[in-house]
Amino acid sequence: MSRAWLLPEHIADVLPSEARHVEAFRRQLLDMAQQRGFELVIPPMLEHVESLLSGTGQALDLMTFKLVDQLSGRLLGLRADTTPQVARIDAHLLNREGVTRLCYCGPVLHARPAGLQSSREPLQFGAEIYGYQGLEADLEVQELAIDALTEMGADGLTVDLSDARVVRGLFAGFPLDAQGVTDLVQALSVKDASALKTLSKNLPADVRDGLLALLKLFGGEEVLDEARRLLPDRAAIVRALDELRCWPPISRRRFLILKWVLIWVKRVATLTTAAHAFRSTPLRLGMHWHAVDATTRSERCLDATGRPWVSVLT
Amino acid sequence: MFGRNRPAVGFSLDVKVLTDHLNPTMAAPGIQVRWQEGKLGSGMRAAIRHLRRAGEQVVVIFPDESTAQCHPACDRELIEVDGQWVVRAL
Repeated sequence: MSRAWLLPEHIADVLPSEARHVEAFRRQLLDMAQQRGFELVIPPMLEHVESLLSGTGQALDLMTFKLVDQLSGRLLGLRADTTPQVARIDAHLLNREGVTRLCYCGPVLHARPAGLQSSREPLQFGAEIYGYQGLEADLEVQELAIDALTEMGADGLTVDLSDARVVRGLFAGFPLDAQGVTDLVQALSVKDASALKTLSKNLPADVRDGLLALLKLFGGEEVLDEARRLLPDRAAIVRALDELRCWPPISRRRFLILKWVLIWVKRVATLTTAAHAFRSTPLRLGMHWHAVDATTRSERCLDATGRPWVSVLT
Repeated sequence: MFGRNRPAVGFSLDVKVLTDHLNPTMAAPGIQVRWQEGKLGSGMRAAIRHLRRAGEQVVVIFPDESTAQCHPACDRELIEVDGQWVVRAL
């Protein structure tokens, strides 16, 4: 039997019934973004790798298919994440001084699947606000994400709240090189206590204890009290915790489940550091949607990288 | 990043993964109309165009095409009754 028609692993055709659903969602998401003033952009599928991977991390590099341009001989990359391209459009092509709201929806290609069941060709929808430092932008994005998921029929949404200032506050004032920080964040991301102990052995005791405490600081609002008790009493950390406590007016109004996760684990670990490179405001919101699989009764969780969760990050 | 330091906030998701886990509103069944030779000037095309503009899905069934397994599914048909093109349930 010929194998000529077999598709590569983790690549699949989308047949009529599913394609109709995918397209309905795509239109719905773009319409909702447009209703909020997000302008649609369509970046190219491929770019020179140095542009595509500018300021991004090793994870995105590994996820990126590469090929040689027969016209120029230069190395090209097929995008594995559209977010850096949209940041490039904001920074270079539009070059506006004020606030820019952009959205996009298109396929990305992953050289390696993000998970055992993941497609290597996700259809990535995203919305970004550039040029506004305040938390109002976070709220606007959160509102869009919640509205979109709710309107598409997702229930049981959970919003995870974190704040990059907590980890930054722990590191602040100590001479750590970029690789050292990357290694520590990676250990935090995968909750590797043993690696964290080794990597932080030269740091002061309160910082080391604080990093290890972060691994267990997740749950309901009581986590914030626990964090105040376990983390060093530094202004940046205290302020971040206080702001997290009074943050989510929209979410509370909507009776969503709120969780405080004081280290941001999933996106850092699974997607790219690229997504963070240009996200300069401190608050990070993650929205997790849990669904119980009717056949296996197992709980599944969605994420932006093929794992089914949706993240709302800053 | 890219020479400018701009605050940014956003989110992204995989539409295909959402589709795997959510049940979108099902598309309404369409209307089928049997191709009839010599009927092009009889108002059939105008009736089809009118329905499509109104948002209906109208599928033209070719002369020898079976409607036993019509894709996409149709629950109505457009037929000519006394010189008028009308939609009726299948």
